Amino acid sequence: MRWKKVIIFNVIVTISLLFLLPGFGNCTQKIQVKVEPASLLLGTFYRGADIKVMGSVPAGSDVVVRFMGIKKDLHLKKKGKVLGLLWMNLDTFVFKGIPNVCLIYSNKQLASGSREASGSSNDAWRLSLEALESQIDIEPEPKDKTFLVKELVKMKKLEGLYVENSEGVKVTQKGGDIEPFEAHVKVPSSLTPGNYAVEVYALADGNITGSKVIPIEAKLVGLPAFLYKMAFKHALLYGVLATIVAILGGLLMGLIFGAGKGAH
Amino acid sequence: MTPLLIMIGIPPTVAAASDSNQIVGASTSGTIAHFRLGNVDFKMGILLLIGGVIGGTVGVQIIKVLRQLGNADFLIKITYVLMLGFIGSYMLLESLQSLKKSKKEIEVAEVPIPTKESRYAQLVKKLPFQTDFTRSGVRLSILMPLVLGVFVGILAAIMGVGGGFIMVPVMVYLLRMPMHVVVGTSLFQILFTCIDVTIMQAYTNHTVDFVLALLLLLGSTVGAQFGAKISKKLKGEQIKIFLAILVLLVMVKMLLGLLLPPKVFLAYTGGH
Repeated sequence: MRWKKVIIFNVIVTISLLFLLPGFGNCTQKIQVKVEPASLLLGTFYRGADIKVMGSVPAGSDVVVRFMGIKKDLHLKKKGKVLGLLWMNLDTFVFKGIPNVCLIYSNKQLASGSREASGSSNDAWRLSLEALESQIDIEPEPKDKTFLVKELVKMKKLEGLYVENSEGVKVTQKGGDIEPFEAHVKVPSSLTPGNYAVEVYALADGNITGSKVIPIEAKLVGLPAFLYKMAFKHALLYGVLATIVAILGGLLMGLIFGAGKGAH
Repeated sequence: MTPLLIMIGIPPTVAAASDSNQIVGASTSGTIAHFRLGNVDFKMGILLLIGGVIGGTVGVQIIKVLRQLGNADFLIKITYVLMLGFIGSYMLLESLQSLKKSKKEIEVAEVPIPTKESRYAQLVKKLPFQTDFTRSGVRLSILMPLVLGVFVGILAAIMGVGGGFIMVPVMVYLLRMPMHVVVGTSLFQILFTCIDVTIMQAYTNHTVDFVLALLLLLGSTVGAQFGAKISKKLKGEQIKIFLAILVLLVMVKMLLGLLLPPKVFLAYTGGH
């Protein structure tokens, strides 16, 4: 009995001391995050989604909200001219560990143009697209690596899969210990099913003082889920069904509008 | 249809495969109607179909290999540029010439065809495996429809076309079939070639978008009703010129896509 009391006393003392340490507790306790919706359903009428990320951070913090996809190797072709005339896909490169989605929202600019200007030790910079660019490896190592990395980010931005919005988080100054924030992350329609994460960071003077990660799943439902399963897991049956439905559709159209004169 | 789908941003491989699926629907009722009228030469159609299935299978494999190499889109686009350029220019020139010429001159212009056929007929008669095609009223080597079928099958897989725009002139000028049999037989061949291509594309390349195909079928059928009304108000040559200009504009747009520097110098490899 006595040794049990000693252990309990030691645990209480240790926890109390930890709370007295500067910064401790900011990591999670003072960051509250709520994400709505909790999962993304990619149904027939899915045209992209608006994820509401809200919560609170320690007063005076800057907030970064990131919607990140799982990192994977990406096989891409570099376009080049053939016969000095036509543009076509030429050399293949593997871009290592590229997140398929990277939507970065913050209440102020994370990177001010260059690594040197922002400071590579700066956590805010590490959360930026510019930092992601600097971490990308390409195999085989190309001569024009910087150019290809820029092109990758450009391509992803055109697809709406990479975004950096320095005015995407609203932090309300209330004067208390904590301040509420809110962000509306626009997820594009081209989002593929899979596991994603909503990451929330609180920063003070460019350094991370707390963070929270909320996993979020995007899954196909309804007709798209059925068609995906058929097309990729029962491809032959899908092909046969596609032709049967087209034939029936053609017959129906023929009945409604009269026999068609043909294809092309 | 396929080049228009490519222009609005649908990947060329998906556009071609889904258009093949749509053509299955579009040619079904027409094939049945012509079958009832006795306008289908089954002997010719089945030979063309055998060739079409072989060609379609070859074409799907070509697309599969090129997708893996990352150049299927390029092949589809360059094939379209060449075909649309040729067909559009031919249509435009022919229509402009027809507008200039009087009716008599047009009749005279049509006279030289038999001369060309007679030269060609000598070559055709030398080919082995000659057989009679009773419905069409012609005697030909079975190799001809087989080879032409292979050619159309390859185009169907690569371009997502039924091949009617090639098959009809081929049947009229090369196989010398009567026009009413040409329409029925080409529809019969197109229907089954596109069934084969759709199933093969779905199985091999997973590029058939079934919903897109149904929407295209619905849109093209409804659009055809408006087209039919508009065409009644225009002269034949005017319609031809309009179509030729449309075909050439699409060709120019696709050609510019191949000639001008791309927005992004990277592209996904196939099958991702």
